Amino acid sequence: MLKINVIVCTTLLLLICALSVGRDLLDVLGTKELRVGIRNISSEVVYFPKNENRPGFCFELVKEFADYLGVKMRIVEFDDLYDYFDDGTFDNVDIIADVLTITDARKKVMNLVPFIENGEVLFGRIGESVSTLEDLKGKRVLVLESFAFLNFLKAELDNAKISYVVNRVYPTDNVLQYLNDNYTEPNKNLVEILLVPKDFAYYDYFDYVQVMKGNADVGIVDTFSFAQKYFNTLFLKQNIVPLMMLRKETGYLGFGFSKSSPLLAKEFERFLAYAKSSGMFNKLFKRYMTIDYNDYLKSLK
Amino acid sequence: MTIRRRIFSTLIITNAIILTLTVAVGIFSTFNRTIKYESEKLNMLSRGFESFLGDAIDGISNSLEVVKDSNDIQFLFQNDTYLKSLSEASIRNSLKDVMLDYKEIESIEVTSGSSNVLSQGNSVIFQAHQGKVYTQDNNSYLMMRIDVNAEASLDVTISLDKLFKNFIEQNNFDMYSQLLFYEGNDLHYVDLQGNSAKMAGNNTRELLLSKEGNVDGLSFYVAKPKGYIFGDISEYIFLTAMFFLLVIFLTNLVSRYLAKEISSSITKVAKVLSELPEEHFEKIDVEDDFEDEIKTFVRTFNSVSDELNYNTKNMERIISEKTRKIEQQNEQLKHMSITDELTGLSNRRSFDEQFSKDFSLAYREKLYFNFAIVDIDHFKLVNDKYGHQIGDKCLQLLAYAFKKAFNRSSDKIFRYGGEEFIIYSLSKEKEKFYDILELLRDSVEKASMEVNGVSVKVTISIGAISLIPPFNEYERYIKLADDNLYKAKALGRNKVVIA
Repeated sequence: MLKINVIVCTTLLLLICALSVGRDLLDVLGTKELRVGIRNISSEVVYFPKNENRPGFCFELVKEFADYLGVKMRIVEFDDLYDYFDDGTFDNVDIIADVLTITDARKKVMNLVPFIENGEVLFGRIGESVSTLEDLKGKRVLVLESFAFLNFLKAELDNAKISYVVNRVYPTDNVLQYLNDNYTEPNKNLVEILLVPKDFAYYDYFDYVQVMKGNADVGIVDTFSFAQKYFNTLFLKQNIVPLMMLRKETGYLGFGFSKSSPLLAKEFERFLAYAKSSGMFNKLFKRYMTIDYNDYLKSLK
Repeated sequence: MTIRRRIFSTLIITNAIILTLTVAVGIFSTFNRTIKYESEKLNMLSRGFESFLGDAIDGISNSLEVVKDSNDIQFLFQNDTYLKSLSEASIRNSLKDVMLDYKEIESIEVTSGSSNVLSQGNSVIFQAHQGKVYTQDNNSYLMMRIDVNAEASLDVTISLDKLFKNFIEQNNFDMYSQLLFYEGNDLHYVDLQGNSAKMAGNNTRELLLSKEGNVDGLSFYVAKPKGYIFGDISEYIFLTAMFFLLVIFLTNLVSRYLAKEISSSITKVAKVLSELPEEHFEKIDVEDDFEDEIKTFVRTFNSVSDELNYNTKNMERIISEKTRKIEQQNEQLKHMSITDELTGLSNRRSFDEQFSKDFSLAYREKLYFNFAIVDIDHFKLVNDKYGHQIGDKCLQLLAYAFKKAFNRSSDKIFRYGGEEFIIYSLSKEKEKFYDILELLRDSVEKASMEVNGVSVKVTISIGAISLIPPFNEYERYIKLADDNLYKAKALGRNKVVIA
């Protein structure tokens, strides 16, 4: 009797677990549908359905994956990057197609499969001369809390033994308004990090606009997004200049999978390998970035 | 016509014909070559402009790719005024750069539907026909549309005037060239003097056209006014005509000189020949200034002249000999006609011719006319007895005897017929005519003629008269002698009876 109870309880537990976690490859193939979580943020890097010519790199890549699997794709739109990391995300989606910077913290939440090499690039207005972290002293560096760049920056500054202050700001009209909590007066020996809280609704080009307006001196973006925007936007090329890479190490951007979808993640890895070896990936990359994938890799070094 | 004139006119006419043909062929050939050359040049221009225009369109398209593919275009249609202004300024800068690279661009506009979102340059009314042309205010424009997306497009207005002018100037081509193109059914032209307009009645008769060129739906021709082409030929014709006249003039001089030079020696020879006496050819001197042919002619003439002179002289000798022979023959004939063949004495015809004259002479000059008729007695018997051959021989022997008896040059003996002979002579004095006759008769009587071994004896009877004729009737005189012969016969024959 006890044995029967154990078996029943275990079965129920497994059923409950199965219901609450993501679907794996067989489920996708069985339903012939791939549910894709993606942000509609008017960004050609991610998903920009209004732009017929370039509706989004992540969108097109995951669409190729769906075609590769021979299934239909169903878009599930998310408002914010942080929403991906909420519980129950994978109840509704099988894959998160977005530029997710792969970090240890994030890897604990979901299975991240890298699709492109990535780094963090500092940029400023044309004429700005920053080539080392030392040059950041006395500068205002804009960082969004919702992105993963704050920790990278802090770590690099700490390693370089460069003092910094973090002042939280909030965009209002044309200025960045300091928030009153823990404001520290900056000086020429400190790097002032202007941190935009995670509750701010990010819009495309926000960080570039702040730097161009002079509300900040330096911004940080991932190289993948930077390449796409910089080479395709005239006003960036005419006003902004890349300054330096934040880290020497090359990071990755990845698509997210449920921890319980290893086969699907594995299949995505196989698809990526195929896409890169067949030239399809490079073709897609060049259409969005205007440069070759290999040239992009070289630029990271 | 003189040789001089003939040489002159022949040279002039020949030269004129050759020159006319040469000039005609030259002009025709030049005309054809010019047309062909100009056509090829225009075709080359057309191909060149096709390439130039195609490159310009491709270049402009490629240059505008940056704008077309940029994210900035999107911001023009968004509400974010800051991004919109940033994008607008950036797009303008980019468009300026493109327009600096391509100065033929009049304007570039970003349009959405019928709205002009952004305009750079001198905006003209865009006709919304990509690759088509539009003419306005004496200017022609090529309209080019680059679609950005379903809503927006980049509309580029290119000045065809500038484009064509730049093409011609960059390549140092003919500045008289024109660009022709159709706007709808109307033919327009663009020239390099800044004129651009519709061609009245689409009339291209005054133009030489290239083959049709086509770039992105724009059909065009490169043309050149025929007036300029044939202007060059007119100049050539004028120069050719001048050359023609010059050559004719020089030919005239040369012809005159040649005609004079050639005819002078001929004239000299002709003059010498004309002065030569008839039937006598003298040698002509070969002068040093004679042409070789004339020298040959004169030498040949001299050679022929020698031959003729020799032949002429020889001919006289031959004719003289022939004449003499003929005279001899005539003489012989005459002699034969008046001579008896058997006896060699004058015959009856000779008697008839001479006798009347001699008798008249004797009568007129009062000379003695000694006249005798001799007849052989019974000569018929001789013939009958010995045959005619013997008889003939007897006659010959008797004739010999008569000639021996009357051997003076003034004595004339005739065989009057058969066996009858007449002997007469004229003398101023009375002669012993009877004695001589008697001697003759006697010698005949005594003679024995040996003929072919036969001894024949004959006698003769003679009737004679020796008087100064008292009348001028020779028949009566003959009658008197004949009567005496009759008397001699009657006396027994072998007698001489004289009165």
